[in-house]
Amino acid sequence: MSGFASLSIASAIKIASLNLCTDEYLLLLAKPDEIASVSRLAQDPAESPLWQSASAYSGNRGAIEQVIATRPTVVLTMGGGGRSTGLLARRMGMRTIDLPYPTSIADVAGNMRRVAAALGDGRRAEPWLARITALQWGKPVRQRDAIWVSGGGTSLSPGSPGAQWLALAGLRQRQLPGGRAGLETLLVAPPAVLVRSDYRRGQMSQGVRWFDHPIVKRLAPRTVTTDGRAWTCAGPLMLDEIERLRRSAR
Amino acid sequence: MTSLAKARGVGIAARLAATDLAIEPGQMVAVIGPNGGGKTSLLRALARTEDALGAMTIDGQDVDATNEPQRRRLLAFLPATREATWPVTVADYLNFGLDLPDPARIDELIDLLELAPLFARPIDLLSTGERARAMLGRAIAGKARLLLLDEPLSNLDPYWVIQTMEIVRREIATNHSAALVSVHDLGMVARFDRVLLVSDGAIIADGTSAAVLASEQFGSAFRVERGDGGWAIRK
Amino acid sequence: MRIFVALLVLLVVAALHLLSPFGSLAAAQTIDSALASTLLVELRLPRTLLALGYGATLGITGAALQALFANPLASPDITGSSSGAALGAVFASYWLGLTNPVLLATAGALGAGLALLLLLALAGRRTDKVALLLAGLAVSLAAGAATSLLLALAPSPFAFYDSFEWLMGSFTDRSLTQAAAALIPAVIACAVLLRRAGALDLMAMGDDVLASLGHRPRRLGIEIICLSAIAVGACVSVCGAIGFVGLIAPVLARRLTRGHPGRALVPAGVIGGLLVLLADLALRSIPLDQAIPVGVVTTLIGTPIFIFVLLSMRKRMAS
Repeated sequence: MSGFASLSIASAIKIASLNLCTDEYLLLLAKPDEIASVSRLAQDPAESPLWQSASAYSGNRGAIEQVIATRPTVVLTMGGGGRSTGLLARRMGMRTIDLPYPTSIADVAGNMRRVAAALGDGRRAEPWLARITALQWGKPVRQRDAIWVSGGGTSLSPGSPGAQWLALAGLRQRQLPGGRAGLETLLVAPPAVLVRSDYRRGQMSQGVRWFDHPIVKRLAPRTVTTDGRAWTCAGPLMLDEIERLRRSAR
Repeated sequence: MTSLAKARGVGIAARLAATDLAIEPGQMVAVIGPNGGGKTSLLRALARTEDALGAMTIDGQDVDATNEPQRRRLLAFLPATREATWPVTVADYLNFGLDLPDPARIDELIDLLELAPLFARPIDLLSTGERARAMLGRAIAGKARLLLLDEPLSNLDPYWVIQTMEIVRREIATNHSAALVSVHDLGMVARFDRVLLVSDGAIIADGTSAAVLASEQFGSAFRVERGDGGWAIRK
Repeated sequence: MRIFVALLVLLVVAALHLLSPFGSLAAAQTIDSALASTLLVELRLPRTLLALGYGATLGITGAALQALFANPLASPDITGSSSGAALGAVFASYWLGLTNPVLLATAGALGAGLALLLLLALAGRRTDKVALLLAGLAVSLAAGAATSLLLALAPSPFAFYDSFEWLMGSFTDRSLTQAAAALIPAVIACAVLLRRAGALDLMAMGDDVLASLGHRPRRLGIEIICLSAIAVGACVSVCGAIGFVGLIAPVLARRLTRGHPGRALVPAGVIGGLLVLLADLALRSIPLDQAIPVGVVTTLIGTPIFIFVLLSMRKRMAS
């Protein structure tokens, strides 16, 4: 849409996002008066790098009843949102947009376009799509054997979106039994690069204690740390991380 | 003749006032008194239980300063309770009374206390009377200088009441030791050389059985007196 | 003589535990022998040492507590000291943010000790056997619930899933440093406990007889409680609470010592070590992706034995 009509529609748009992953798109693409509400997770420093800007808005716990007071025109959900959400939204005259869980980077790009369109300005997605395209074009031919680990040795499946992002940085996630990196594997067949997620690194859990084991510490020379918060959704926030990983790989 | 045992200021807080006592070798002393009057407390105080006050010497040695092997030679305490938690065999239980294993002494005790059919039986499966014999055996096994026996005659068949008295008397005579025996059945008292009457946390009479039984203290402590055909409530 | 055979069996089982699975060890050896020894020392050895040491600790402290309370069913888990230790360690690491293993072992010991003191306050020492067990179960359940609550409310959302490990035990991925933090205090405390074995035997005749023989029952009681708390607390701070071994090992040991409670300390230690090693070996031979806590196996084996002991206790009391 273009012209005066789209302007007036655009200023009336207010989007409430009920999910941490949809919050990412909204916070990156929308102007402040276009955001009605984001999830409380987005406002938690331990969960999102965008927590500071997210704090300006009303926080919801993923339920549509909690955002009615903010009078959104559109409700963003991911992976369904529940039957009641759809019912209530229609009753209140709100439009629902349900983004699919991304299974590939193309899905992430698609989600960006949809949210930008919902904001009435498809062009806003362009800078992001350009970055994605640039990364894909520059994908290194030489892929190094890598293992991404979070607490307790939890890793990624090679087909997952996270692993696809890693490939853009020239790191090929290894297939691991049970999706977990065992200490024996790390000792006997260490990867060329160990990508360590620092998600909740400062908070005690048995998973975090795992990183103190001498066998994991031995891999320090080949360990790079990544902001774990971006990996939860494997969405647009990954761009910063992958660009960084690619630079440090050189 | 120097005393076998000298107790000075022995007592138990709130149960037995500080008491002095001297026991001569060869003495069979009965400790009698109303329930709750302090009979058990006297024996426990002499046995140097954890809450015992005062001091005691046996054969000139300060009992509190002795270690386990020395202590076994000086005194042996038999509590009134006949409880046994662990399935220790009778033979092993008798061994608890000895510092070093002594199979000959164990055999002797088994004969003496007629425990032959029971010696391999776990002690917690014996009847109360059988257990009493095994526990007495443990107490006399070490031939201690002073035997402190709390109600060893209670709930025994008449045969074993008499036998127990005989066994203890013989042990004392053989070893030139002494025994304090708390007794509930006043009928047995006549067999003892000396009687201590304990009431309200103190020894209120000390003498021969005849003297103590006839004393005013006895009457006021027990509130009974000798009548025709046994005891009668005192007026 | 029998003790040498038992120790030999223990060593063989420990060696089996250390070397299995043999396949991956051999594979590491072909790559690089230094790699194989690192695998043995950094990964396998802590696990074997912890299984052996923690099991022996449970056996010895279980036997000591049973002798102290004159109760064939007392044990670190039933008296609540294992759960108390877990509570102390969880509070110290998740809420106070302590990471030093020595401090965590101390927190575990304090938790275990406080649980035992609470038990004494509730039940006294020489009470009805069943009353003691009920009070112990109450303390144990309360401490376990408090531990789960602290984990659920801890800053990290992963903490809640850790409760499985804390309340049912685990040896996986422990380091040599952690093994040392657990086992050095445990070995020292158990060694001192072993020296009290003679007095614990005499305790079978009651506190008064024990005192008449020149010992101090109350001081002995405090010693047993403190030493057990230190040993169990240190082990729990690293591996979590493992149940039933502290109950079964002394029961089996007393069959070998003809009912003597104090003499059962050493055999209970050997049996405890064997039980935990075998339980962990059994776990590892099942090829599963999920990590099953070792306490699940010990509880599965232990529950029927516990019921059996309870029933035979009832039979004895009735006769």
